[in-house]
Amino acid sequence: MERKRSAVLLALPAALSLLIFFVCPMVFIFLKTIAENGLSDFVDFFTDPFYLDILWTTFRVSLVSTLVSLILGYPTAYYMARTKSRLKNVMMIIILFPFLVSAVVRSYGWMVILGKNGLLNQLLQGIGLIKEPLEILNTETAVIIGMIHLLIPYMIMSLIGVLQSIDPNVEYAAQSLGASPLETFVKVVFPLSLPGIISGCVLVFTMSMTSYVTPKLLGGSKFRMMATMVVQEINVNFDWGAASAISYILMAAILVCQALIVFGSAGYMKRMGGGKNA
Amino acid sequence: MASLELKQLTKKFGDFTAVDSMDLQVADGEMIALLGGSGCGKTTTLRMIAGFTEPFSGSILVDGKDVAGIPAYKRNIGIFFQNYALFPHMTVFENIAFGLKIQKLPKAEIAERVSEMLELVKLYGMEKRYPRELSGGQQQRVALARALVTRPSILLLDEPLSNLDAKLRVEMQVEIKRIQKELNITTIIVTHDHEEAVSLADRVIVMNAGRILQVGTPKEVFDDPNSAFVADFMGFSTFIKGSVKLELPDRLIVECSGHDLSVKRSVRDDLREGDNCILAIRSENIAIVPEDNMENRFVSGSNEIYAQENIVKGRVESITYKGHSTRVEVSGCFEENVYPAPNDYTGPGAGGELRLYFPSDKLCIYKN
Repeated sequence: MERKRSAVLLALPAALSLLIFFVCPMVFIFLKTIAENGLSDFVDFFTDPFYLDILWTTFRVSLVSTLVSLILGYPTAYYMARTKSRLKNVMMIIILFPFLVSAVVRSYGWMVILGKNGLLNQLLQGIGLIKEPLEILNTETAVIIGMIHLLIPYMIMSLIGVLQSIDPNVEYAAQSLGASPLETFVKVVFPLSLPGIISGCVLVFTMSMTSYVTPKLLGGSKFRMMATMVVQEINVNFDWGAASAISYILMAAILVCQALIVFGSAGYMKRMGGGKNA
Repeated sequence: MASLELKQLTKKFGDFTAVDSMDLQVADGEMIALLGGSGCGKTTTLRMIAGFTEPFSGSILVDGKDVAGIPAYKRNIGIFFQNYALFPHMTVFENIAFGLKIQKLPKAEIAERVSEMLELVKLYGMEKRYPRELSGGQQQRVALARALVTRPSILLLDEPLSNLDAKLRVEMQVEIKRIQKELNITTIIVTHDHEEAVSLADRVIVMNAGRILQVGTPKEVFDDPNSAFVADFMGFSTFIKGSVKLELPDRLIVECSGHDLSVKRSVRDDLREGDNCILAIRSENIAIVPEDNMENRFVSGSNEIYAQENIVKGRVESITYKGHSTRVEVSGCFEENVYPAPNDYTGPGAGGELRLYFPSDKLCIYKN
């Protein structure tokens, strides 16, 4: 009992600061919006195709970024989890290196690469693959590229953890029982790595849904996602009510997606014994 | 069911030679044990046979056919891992059925063969459990059933008893032997535990630093190691340095720290008068001569002994009770301390004097 009470005390500073600086403002904004405009801001959002399109774009960009991060990150994570190379630490630093540079700087980097006269177009034109420069910068593609670059380390880190916990002997056992490398992956490694896949996807999807800098810098003036729209409502339209409604709808959308993933995998996770496997 | 042959098998990791020109023949249905300390190359040999790693040179022949270049999943070699390596996300049934599902056998046949296996390893009624819900011994049975259900040509067992407590060890030892004989499957056990090796295998191969030191029946290897190194590995506790004083037709007289010991000549008769040698003897073979018995006729263990020679006086340094035996440390017999381990010690305490008898047929002699 005594232990329990001191544990509560230890959690108090973090809990209090979350309450004061996070929950309170949110409740305050919500109440203010309702008090001033009733539910009209929310109704406006769901009746205006303009807004619905932004929500859909946000969702689409996030989904594609998450899936591509998973597909690109998985082999890297698998290699990192299994390698016995002395360079493993160096590789880990390289993977984490993007964290050292802010999203703004990285987005500018992509602008240099993806622009009309950027490195990519110069290269492709130089080797004669294309005649006219590609329009990549200021498109959804550019945003997705920037997003993947930004978020893939999170995906890799989530996956490395769970892949390292898979006993290599389990893979050998599958092979000795006649499973080809592909069958071993599909029937053993992939299912066992699902907890990491789920946590990595939830993390990347959430960060991508709420991202502001990348869509702002790489998407151009006409490209809008939920977070950029919130800022636009405040700074350009001076419509605090709409901004708060969009914020809440974004949060709700993320929570719904997370809930779907968590409940969808609940049965499986239970089967796995809550990840506690010897 | 197949025979196995290793020819000049070599594996190198950089400059390190893990397995060095290993030659070995295993007959169909034979159970052999590769015995050695960590890093002796036994596990690497196992992994090469399984196909998880390619040899540097030499070849592996299964039923006379070279398996080089055949990937692990096409070799049909069953393997049992020390940590069992069960699929944690599958039930007992699914674990055992895995190999059969890969073969795309009809469901009814899979069910039948899995239940056959469950019967064989005595796990009937457990098929719906997950590995984490099983005890260590049960997990081990699942691992064994999983390795056997595909009817592999060769079964590889990696330290099969090492993770079990003493009681389960004996039980599983009997089980593994029974199953192996029942299926008559060629089996290779890899272990660092000489008791595990001699209790399970038909033939024991002692390895060190990538090379085979001795091949023999469990009894040969256990009672008559061919080198002091193997003797040490096989659990001989007492080693005495000496030199050959006299060669007799059936025995050698060896002088050790002023005492003459008579030693039965071994098959490796490479010692001549004047050669330095090492004598080795198991603790349980050193008998304690009762003080009140001047005729030196006494009972030790289940043997009646009439000792005329090889009796040396010493001083008890320490006594350690070990349950089924008592380990006594004795100094003063020779330069080296000796360690008799009688079942039932009633002699003097630390500091007391006692006489030890070293039976000449239990002393192993090696060139030094």
